[in-house]
Amino acid sequence: MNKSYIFIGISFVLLAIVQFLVVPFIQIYSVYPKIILLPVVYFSLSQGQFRGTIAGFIFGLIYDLLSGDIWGINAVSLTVAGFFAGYFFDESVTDPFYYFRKFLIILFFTTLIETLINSLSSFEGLDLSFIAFLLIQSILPALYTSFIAVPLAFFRKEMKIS
Amino acid sequence: MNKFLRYLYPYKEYLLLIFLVTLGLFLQVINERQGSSKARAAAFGSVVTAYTVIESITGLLPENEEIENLRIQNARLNLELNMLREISDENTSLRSLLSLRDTIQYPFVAASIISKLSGRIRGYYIINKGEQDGIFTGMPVINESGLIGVVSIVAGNFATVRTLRNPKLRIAVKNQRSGIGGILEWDGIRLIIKNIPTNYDFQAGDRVVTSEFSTLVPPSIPVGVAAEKEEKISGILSNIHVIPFANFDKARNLFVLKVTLDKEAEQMIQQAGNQPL
Repeated sequence: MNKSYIFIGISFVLLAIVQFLVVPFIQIYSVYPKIILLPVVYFSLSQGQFRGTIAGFIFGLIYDLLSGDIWGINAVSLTVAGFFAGYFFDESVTDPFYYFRKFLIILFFTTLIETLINSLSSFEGLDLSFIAFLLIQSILPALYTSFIAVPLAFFRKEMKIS
Repeated sequence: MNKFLRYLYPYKEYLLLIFLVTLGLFLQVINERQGSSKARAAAFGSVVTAYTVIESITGLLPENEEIENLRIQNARLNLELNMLREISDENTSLRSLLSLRDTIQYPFVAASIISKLSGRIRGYYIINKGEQDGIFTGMPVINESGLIGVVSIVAGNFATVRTLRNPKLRIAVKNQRSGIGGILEWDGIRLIIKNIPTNYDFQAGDRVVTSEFSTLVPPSIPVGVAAEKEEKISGILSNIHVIPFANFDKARNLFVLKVTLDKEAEQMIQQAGNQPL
């Protein structure tokens, strides 16, 4: 099995545990980062859209099982996240962190879409306008997630010509 | 056939997306079935090991028996204080007094939050007490300040709590001063009691407590304070905004009241139905 698959898989499990047990305690006014998206975005950018979509589904399903959340809810949103991030796959870039600003922008928009899909099932019954819903549930978590990802810039590797 | 597959090949990513999203939605539909909730409970119980390891490493939630006892005492005193407020109200009926006494007598189980699922829209907590501690679905959960929510899924050592910040949880409440009742719900930003006739005596600053009509929680558990009365366009009805006593963002230690009113009510209805008229 490809080493990077194992690395991404282990990273996901570790980040899922952190997301589940630690992130709730660093939330700011109920806005929290969605760090389980980091391996999904990284995987999609390094392996392509097809594999990224599958990884998103598997990761989402694992997170649903671990967290006690509704089965399928994270599987669907992370599948779409993997699919979306895969659009920006570039075969010539061996390390998705190399163009780090681009990585952060992709992460921001992927989180925006993922959190929106993830919370749409709860939109029914709320008296919120869609703009307020978008801000609270998607834009702020996306900003927080991108901010949390900034230290990853130190893990950039030298680009190899492939 | 080969030609057909070759035709579809360029669209494989889209087809995969449609297939996986459909599968995910199918799983969500299955969730609604009765049997799957047990499987969900068993699955999320799998975090036990991770939680135990992380707790032992980080000591995020250090618990001390003395502190725990003090918290229980604090919560009990808070309920008692609320009862005394109620007694001082001349309009309090004997029936509600009896109910209040019962509320205080319910046994408490102290629990710690190990995770808060989602933020402002889908409010769930996961607590470190479950079936083995005598906790069942439907039990009310409070902290030292007031009502937090209701237990929704129970596993061996863990349970999920549907908090007041969940649009799916609606609780019958009343104004402690005037006795005016209503249904409290979460609109995504605030807790509100909808459609209270404008001429009813419901003012900003009034304390809101659980009502005798609630089939989920015992009466007179403090919920919050009425902050604002928002008149609707028609002018006939108003929405009351309620600020909860409990701080949902900072809550860490909770108490589960060992009572399931909905089951008791259900049993009583069944018994009444079996008796000849």
